[in-house]
Amino acid sequence: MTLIYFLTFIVLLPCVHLDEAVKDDYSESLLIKPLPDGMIYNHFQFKTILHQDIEYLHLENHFDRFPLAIGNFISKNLIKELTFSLGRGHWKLNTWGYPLRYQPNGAELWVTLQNFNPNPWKSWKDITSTLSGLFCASLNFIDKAATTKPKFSLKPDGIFINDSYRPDNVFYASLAHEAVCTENLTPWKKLLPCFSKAGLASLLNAVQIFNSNYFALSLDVKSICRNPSCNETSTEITQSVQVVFNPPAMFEGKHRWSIVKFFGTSLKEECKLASSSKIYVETTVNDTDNSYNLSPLPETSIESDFQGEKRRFAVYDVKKMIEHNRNNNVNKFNIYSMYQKEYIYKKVNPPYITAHRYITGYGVYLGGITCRITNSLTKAQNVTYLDVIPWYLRIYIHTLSITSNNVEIKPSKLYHKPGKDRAQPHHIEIILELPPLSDTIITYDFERAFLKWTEFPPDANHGVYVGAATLTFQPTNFQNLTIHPEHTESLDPPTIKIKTENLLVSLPTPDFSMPYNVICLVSTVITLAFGPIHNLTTKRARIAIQSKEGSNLKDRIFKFFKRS
Amino acid sequence: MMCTIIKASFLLAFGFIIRMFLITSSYQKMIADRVEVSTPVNSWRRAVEGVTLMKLNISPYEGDTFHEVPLFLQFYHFLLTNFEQWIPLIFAIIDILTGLCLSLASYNQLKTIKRWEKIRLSKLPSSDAKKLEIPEKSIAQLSFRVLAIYLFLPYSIMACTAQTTSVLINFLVSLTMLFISFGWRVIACSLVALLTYHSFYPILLIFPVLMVSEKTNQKGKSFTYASKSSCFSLISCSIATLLLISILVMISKSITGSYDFFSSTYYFLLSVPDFTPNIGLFWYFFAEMFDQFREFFLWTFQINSFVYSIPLSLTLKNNPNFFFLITLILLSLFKPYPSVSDLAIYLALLPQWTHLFTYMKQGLLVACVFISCSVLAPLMWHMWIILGTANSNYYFGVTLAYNVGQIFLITDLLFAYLKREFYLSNGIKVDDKDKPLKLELSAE
Repeated sequence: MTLIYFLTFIVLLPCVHLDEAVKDDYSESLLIKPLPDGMIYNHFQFKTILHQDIEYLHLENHFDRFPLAIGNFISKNLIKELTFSLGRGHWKLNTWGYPLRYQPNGAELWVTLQNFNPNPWKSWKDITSTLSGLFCASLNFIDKAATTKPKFSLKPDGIFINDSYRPDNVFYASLAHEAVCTENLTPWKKLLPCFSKAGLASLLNAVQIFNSNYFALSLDVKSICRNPSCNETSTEITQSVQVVFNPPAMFEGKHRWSIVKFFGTSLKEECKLASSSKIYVETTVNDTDNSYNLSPLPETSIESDFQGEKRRFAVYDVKKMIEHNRNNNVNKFNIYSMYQKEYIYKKVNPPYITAHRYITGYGVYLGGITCRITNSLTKAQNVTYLDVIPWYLRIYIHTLSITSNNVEIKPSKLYHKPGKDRAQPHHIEIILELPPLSDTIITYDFERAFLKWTEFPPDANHGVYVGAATLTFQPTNFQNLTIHPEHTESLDPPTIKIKTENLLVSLPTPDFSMPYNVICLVSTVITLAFGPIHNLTTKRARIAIQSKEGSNLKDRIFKFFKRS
Repeated sequence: MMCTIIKASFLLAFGFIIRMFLITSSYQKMIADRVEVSTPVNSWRRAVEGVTLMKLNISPYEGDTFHEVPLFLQFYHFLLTNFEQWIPLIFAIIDILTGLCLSLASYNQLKTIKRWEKIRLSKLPSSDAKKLEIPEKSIAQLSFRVLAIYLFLPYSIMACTAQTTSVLINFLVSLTMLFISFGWRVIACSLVALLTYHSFYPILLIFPVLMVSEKTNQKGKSFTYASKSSCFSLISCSIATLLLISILVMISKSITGSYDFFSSTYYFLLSVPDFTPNIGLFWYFFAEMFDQFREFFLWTFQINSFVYSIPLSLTLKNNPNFFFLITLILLSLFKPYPSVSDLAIYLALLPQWTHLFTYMKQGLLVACVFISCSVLAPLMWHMWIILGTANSNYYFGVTLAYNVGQIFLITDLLFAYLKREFYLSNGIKVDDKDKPLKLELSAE
């Protein structure tokens, strides 16, 4: 018997390979871009790539840099792609142009599940609860009534080799009322290989970055090509932070900035696990009147031309600089910039496609939603509009009207899924061709539902938030686009997703102190009907027997006392 | 006769002009948006939404905006595709036809009631009989009044202006009344089946309809439920009606492909998930309900809406036409989503029962309640919803008062009826001062 075991072992030995750590790679970067109105846009990007297909992630894999929590989470819920972001503040599209990614106020979650996921809805539920635990966000409020499956708007970012893309596996939800704060940032930082102890992440000082004009935090998981022939895939996690600072508010009204002042700390230590750690400063504006000097001088610079749109970046290698500082016994790492002349505020050209959405109507019963999309290009542009409205604003699709420069236009595609009370939001998706130089107005009417007194959020009279609408389009040029110097390999501009404003809608409220009174009053009225009808139907009419005595008041009183 | 026809046609034309004027005016949207007129189950906006969804290849029952049955949806679809510009005209014509049907029905009914009461009156002293008799001359006059009131009642005009689908329902109800007054029980029962199929609650109308037809069959003699022939015809008729309803449901199933429409229509009516204010008793009660009691009160309220028909069908056996009116009032009172069109149809029918008015006590009170509620409801709504200076209790108070008014009306009518029945059987008993003696109800 022992012999058989031994032989089996010998035979199977070549098949058993010892688990070795799958190769992974980590890189970090910070892009600093002066915005046209003098504000400074900072975009941190931390990228971890695991050279393994997302479908084959297992607990047994030994991850070096790849966050274990996320790895487990992906393999358990069979996720293909995930985008999770939290935002605070409003990105001023008209003056700031298109950001690298657009996150409105609140939380947003977009998940594509793997095709062979046996129970997508259960996975979705698990994903929301896990993420809400992982990031201390109230994502557990995402239920069926907040979830949609967009048809055209959300196209996958990553590549699909092992399975095909099915729109049915896409889940999308946003929570506009979600507040973002330190408690979300801290667990987010813990996913990084060097945590916030070393590297660029040590700049993410909560006190400073929440004191900004705009802040957004995100986590993306997707599949990318492992090699140029793209026959194998790797799993990529991108963690990014976007912060917009207002330098005059921090530098006594002066237009200058420094990393130490922005983040309240200097870079002391590099992240040794990072394969690259770079800071890019966009210096494209230096050709204009508002040119600035950088100090220390950048090591190298990148210049690229995107179909006539020139971009220049100063590049700092953090690792080298810290090494250099250490050798020279300087422990302060800083980059700062000063304008050569007085800063000149100029008229800013808004991006060629902008969208704004607002509530129309008065009172708290009927209303409408209007979205104004401007196309300032001299050619037509295809856009996809996605709006998810909570069920308690009952959308009437027959009131949908799309006019462009006051001429009615027909959408090339319209998808609508009507809402169901407490179970499903209203979902409108429109593919539309915006005529050149046009102002397109999409409107539809809604009726507010009257909720149960227990269904209202706290502070019911404040109103409820409706998540932003998404406008997706493929831009034809790079104008007003923020370009990350590490993403310059593709020649076509990336798909742009812009978001409209969140809406605050007040709902009609019942009197929250009345339940008991209402029950009493209505029951009394019902009894008022029941009693007499019962009497009239069960009794017979007859001549009232009138007693001789007791006709006047004195007798009645007398009788009353006699009886008692 | 000629004169009446001229007068009636003048009234009809005038009613038609008023309706057409309002429908085409800018007031139309204002009236259609009023919650007293348009409820989740009858608003034209939702009907249009249902048709639009259907045209977009989306099942209207997938969402929660449309709550009417498939056959009616098909009908609206037919109207909206073929006669879109003519819809105001169609609504106005249907509404004035309703008035006409009601008036003809009450003319016929009064004639029949008079015929039925002849035997009973002949047994009374002639002076009493004269007092109790419905004067022959007044019959035409009264039915004319029914027409006039329906045509010029603000409630019916508003319901028609808003193009609520209740206009069609009221038309079907008036047709039922008309056919039953002719004694055509098959058609009347089919109409009740159609009404029941549409919104379930009109199933209550089957009681008076069957009773009227049975009474007509018996040539006005009072009948007992115990007699074999009555029993048989009543049961067979109700089974036929139920069969017809199930056939309609089956047809709807084959149109939509599934029973999904049940949850958006009948279940919607029975479980009352929409708390949009209306003039009924349900909305605020269930919006404010403690969750653990919701089910209990839902059952109580729904049973309460149906339970009255059984005792009333025993008490009002002698005059099932009157039972029809009482059922209409009960429907308006205990439906989860009533509207002013439910009020309009029974208010228009009241002149038919002027012979009961002499025994009523609360007439003034009820009239005052109705008038003041009609004024206060829009005011309170405006203060709550538009200005934000009042809250929901203000509007709730008005609807509560309105329902108390309806309850007073129904109990007063019933008591007046019982009084007259007593006098019809026993003669008018007077005391020594020639005043009628007081009546009381006794359990013996």
